[in-house]
Amino acid sequence: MARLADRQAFERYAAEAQARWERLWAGDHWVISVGISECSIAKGALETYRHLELLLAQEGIPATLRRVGCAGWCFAEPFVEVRAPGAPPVVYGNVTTDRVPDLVHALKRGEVKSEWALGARADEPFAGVQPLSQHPFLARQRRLLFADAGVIDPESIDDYIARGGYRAFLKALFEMTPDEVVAEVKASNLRGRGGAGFPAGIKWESGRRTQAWPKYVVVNSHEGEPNVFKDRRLLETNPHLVLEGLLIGCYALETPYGYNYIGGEHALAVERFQEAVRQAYELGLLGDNILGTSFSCHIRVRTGGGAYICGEGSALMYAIMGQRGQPRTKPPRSVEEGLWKRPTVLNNTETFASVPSIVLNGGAWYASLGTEQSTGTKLVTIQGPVKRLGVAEIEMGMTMRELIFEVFGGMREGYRFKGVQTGGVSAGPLREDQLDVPVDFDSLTELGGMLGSGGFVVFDESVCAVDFARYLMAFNRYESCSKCNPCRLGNPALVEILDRIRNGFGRPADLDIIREGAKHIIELSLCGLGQVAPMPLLGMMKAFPEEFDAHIREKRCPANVCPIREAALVAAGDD
Amino acid sequence: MAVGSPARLVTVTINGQQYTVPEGMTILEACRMVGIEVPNLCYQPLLRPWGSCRICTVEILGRRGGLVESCAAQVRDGMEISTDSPACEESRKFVLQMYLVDHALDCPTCDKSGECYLQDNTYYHNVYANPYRRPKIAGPYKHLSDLIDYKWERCIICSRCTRVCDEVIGVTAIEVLKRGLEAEIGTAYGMDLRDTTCTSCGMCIAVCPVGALTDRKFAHHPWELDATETVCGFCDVGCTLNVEHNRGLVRRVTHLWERGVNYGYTCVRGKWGYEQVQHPDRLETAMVRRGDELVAVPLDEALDLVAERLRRYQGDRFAALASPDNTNEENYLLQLFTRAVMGTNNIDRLATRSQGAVDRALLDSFGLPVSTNSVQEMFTHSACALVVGPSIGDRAPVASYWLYWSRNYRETKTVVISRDDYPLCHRAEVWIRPPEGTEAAVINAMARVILDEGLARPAVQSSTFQEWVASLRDYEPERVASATGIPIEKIRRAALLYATGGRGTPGTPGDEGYPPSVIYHTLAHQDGDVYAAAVALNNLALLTGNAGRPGAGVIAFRGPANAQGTLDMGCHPAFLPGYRPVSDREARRQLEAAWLPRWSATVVDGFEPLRALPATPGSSLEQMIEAIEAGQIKAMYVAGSSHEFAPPIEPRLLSALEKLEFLVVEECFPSPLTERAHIVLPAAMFMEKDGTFTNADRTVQRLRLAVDPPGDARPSWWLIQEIARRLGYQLAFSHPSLVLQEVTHLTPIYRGIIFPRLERGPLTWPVRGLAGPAEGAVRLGATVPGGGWAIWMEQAFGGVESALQFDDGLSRERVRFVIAEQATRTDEER
Repeated sequence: MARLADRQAFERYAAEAQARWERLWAGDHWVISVGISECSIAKGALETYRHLELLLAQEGIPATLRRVGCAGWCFAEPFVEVRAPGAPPVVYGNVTTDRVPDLVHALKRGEVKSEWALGARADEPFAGVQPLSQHPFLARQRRLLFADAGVIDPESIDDYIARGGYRAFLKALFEMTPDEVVAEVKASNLRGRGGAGFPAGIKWESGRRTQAWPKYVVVNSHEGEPNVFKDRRLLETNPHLVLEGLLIGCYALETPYGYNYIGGEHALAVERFQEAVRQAYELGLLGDNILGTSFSCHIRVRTGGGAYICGEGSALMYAIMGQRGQPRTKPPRSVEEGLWKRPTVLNNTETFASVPSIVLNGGAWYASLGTEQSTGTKLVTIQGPVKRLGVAEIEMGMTMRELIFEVFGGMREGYRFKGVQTGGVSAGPLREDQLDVPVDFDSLTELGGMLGSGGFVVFDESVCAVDFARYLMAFNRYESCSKCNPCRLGNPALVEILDRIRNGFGRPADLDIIREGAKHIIELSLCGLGQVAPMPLLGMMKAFPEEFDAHIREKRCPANVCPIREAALVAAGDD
Repeated sequence: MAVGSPARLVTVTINGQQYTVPEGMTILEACRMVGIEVPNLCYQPLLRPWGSCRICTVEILGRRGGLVESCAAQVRDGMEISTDSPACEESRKFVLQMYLVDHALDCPTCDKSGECYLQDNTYYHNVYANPYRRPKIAGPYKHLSDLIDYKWERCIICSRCTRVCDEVIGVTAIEVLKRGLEAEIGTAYGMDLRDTTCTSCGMCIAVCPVGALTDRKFAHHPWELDATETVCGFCDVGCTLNVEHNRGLVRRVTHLWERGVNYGYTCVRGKWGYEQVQHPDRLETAMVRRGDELVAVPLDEALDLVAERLRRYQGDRFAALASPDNTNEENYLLQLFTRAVMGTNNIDRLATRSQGAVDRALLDSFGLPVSTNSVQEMFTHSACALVVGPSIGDRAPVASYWLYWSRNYRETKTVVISRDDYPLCHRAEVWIRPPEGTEAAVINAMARVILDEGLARPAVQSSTFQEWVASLRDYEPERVASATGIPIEKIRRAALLYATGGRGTPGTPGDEGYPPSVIYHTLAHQDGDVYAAAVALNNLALLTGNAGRPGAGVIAFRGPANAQGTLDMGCHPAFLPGYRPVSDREARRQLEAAWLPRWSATVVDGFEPLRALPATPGSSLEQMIEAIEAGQIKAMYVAGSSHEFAPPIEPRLLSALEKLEFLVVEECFPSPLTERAHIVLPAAMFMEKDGTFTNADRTVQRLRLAVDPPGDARPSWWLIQEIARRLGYQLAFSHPSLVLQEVTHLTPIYRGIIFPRLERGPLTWPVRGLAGPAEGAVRLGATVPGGGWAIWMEQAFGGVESALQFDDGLSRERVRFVIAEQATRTDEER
């Protein structure tokens, strides 16, 4: 590939890519796409892919076998999308290797395995298969970032360009000044997707205002929380979208230096993003004098070593600089003194991924999505005993009940909903009677929950509130960076008290000690992570006070999870 | 710390009282400034705010208030601060309770007990119960090295140690390992510190607020110790040490934060050098040679003998070598003894050839063998540092600390030219590793780049400049690069960085030119001929206008603690005290008036009182060797200073000394000198005497007696006076302060430097009178009103300028470009 010299060259290239894309879907050969991402690999997608490859060759079917990214439907992995000549593409779920021969033979016979089909990519039902968009998992979603998820090959810049990629960057580069870009982002009221919800436009604006040079733009793809996986899925399925957002960010800040800090455990995400960067360099969308303009941009990928704290802005910057990842005191804020003491604009992966559509369609259009204070769409992930696990992209403002029971399909057979843990490990749970709260930044916070990065954990009656609180606290205790006293020493103290309660040695005063200690930890901790560390515990105590009472006063664990009886017996010296 | 420009002031209310403090100060500093103590554990002067202990929490009152960490939050105008509100107290109590969950509380056996911040605060905040109490977790002692121990359960992970190691020492030998409660201090892969980049400076122990990092050589209770503030005698940075001693022995050295030129920080020699002072090998008795053997004799007897023998060698048959480790007062007395008693100018320093070459280079270029600027300007003015020579981290460690510090906090740029591989090389913008003997060629090539780029702003426009430019024709950067194997880009970049004050690109300089660049060099510690390289550096400074302004200049570290002061005091064959030439009749007359009346009238054994001071320059060290070989010099007095950190004595000198008829050696350790001596006088070392040292940047500081010298050992000033008296010359100074008083009186450059003022802190000569402010930067000017030569003194405050004028009758320019003949040698060899 030669570097594209100017805008015309890009337009020509895009037209060719689009033509290739259309030819792909118009010919009389089969097109079979297999979703390959870390979640589907775990469920055997690579084996499915190899099996398909073999069978197609064996059967002599003229086919294009493609690898695409994850489409968010973790419950249906591994999935295979088949377009037979003359028919719309149909998506089949849970195609493990043992199903592959059946599927191929059926298709060869011209049949459709409608019992395995998730839906057809058509507006009308096809051979008993509903249109994919009417699948209950997708029907309520509004997909901007995940629009091409599972459709394009994440390792192909051509696919991305064919689907309209880098149009937003070109629009910004050739038709807008950096100030106008910032103004659009500001008008969109896009709020940071990492958890704190700080308006990105305002951050970019203050980044522009700071005079020092050079400046840096950093994508935070660390995503270290135990129950969130939206960013890695996004990077695995559409890395160019993030890259385009980062490019626009660099252009808005008029700086040639961009970083993406990706958690080291997200191996495939790192690989695919690096590949995207390589392709963009090759095509001349990165490098010096991009498309013949005076704008240059260089992007580096840095990976983390597995410390949760490195997702905190300033700790992340120390990690990029090669130092121990620990937060620092603020002010100065990162937009004043970040990487190498220079202004640094840091946003979440999802935030950057939202930028291209804002630039293309305008901030006002984006602001019309979602609620007034929380605009746009949000990627949410869920865990727990629900029917349809996965990543969903919803418009802000959908109620939690709709999200859990319609999008994610409600509880599985034999499980009764007890609560949903919000905000990862940084906030409290919601009980069933609180589920009508809209999923947005402010409403959840009012109830003691938190939107955070959009990771929810649904739990049922078999989960003990004390035990679950202990799990969440222990995460914070082990992931404390050890810098500040309240977080390093306070969290272990709370975990120890919880252990005491779990083991049946709780005292009524313990709850007061927890409240008192938690208050100090929240007040005194250095960074955001310490300041919210006791929140899940306080939330559990507020939502399920009766369970804590049962542990302490009745020495009984209602869910029968805690080692309360055995411990008490051992202590009593009984046999 | 000296602050260049006064900051804007803001008004804050602290605990109901209004104060006006500089803007940009942290709340903690503001409180300290106005005398309100805020408890703190992780705060350490000179390090960036850390904010980990949270015990310095204060409450900001008002609408946007709340609890903030005072060590990091800055004062704002109109801020209302409470340092002792109930919320603060409660928070601090919580913080302490948290620490005490696992803190060992083994205070009775802890070295730190009595000066432990955690102990103090626990007591102060009355923490006696702990609701978070549980059985303590304990860990074994970790022996980080043979000097340093670590105990996890005492550690509060304040990171002072790791920060000082990284930000100031620059070695990053220790770091916080692991996370959360399990965090601990340690080395990479659990290596012994001795196998890492660790310099064993002990600063991690020094900054530890608790007893987590401890000194393995120390086992006393702090409250049993007496403390004496003095100056280190092991290099010419001149660090202030707090020597703690009891029962006549130094037990440890501690740190007076924010005091002295080192702000309390020291290196391995400062921290553990006291072991040299009380080394079992120290000489404790006078010794006289009987046949092949040295026999111990009472000191009086030895002194009598010295006097009796020296009587025969008055005049140029006698020579003396002064020790650059001795105090100004002692060296002044030794040159006085040589000139006014023995009647000869045969006096020089016991220095290596490289030290001599560096002094000569400075003398030739700037008219005085002195560093032109102060190290302290690294904190305020210097924007770029060119560091040349063997590892400055070993040779002048504490000066290297400021290089790291200013890189961190002032973003100064660093260019290193060194064959040694030490941490600064890896942090520097450019590191050039020249093959042996090619330093001068590389530096001259840099000068060529600067000339070619049009960045030259010569400080002196004279014929020497043109001649020197012409002499550079052999140093085309391309040629030097190919001859030395150094990439030409490195030479170019080094030159551009230096010439533009760290900007690296020519661009347009501001009204006052490019920011200043300073040269630090340790060439005096390098073997071989370093004159050409030292001169080339001086020329580079003159070429770029980096002479005569703050933050610029050349600072040469010459090794021994008083290398500078020894020269200042006139231990030089051609210079009287204060660099007045021996040929200067006026100066001689003044000194004769002060010195000669001390002769008693009686003539003993043909030893005549002197009528006049010798007017012709005597033999330098090199010439002395020849003169001994030729039999012209027959007797010598050598003040030795052998200790572990002293440079080796030249073999040529040693073999010459064997030919002397009579050699008196004043020494603190058995050494090659004592082996050749006829009489050995035991001398005191720096912790055992009073006096002053003048460090590499001309800062005069007070030495204080902490412990008595061992056995019969006496300070040199006492020994010389005793010998002089026995020769009929009445030297009767009862204390070095009286000697310095005479120096001050007779030596223009030392005017204003007297003991009472030194008690308050260091003084950098030249100082202005007795009343004026002491800090000043020397400007060396070529064009001086009246045609003489002057040291220009620019006052740091108020911009007052004054000049100390000297007219030494020499016709040559005092500040000039010097061409070193041998500089081209290496180029041709290759």
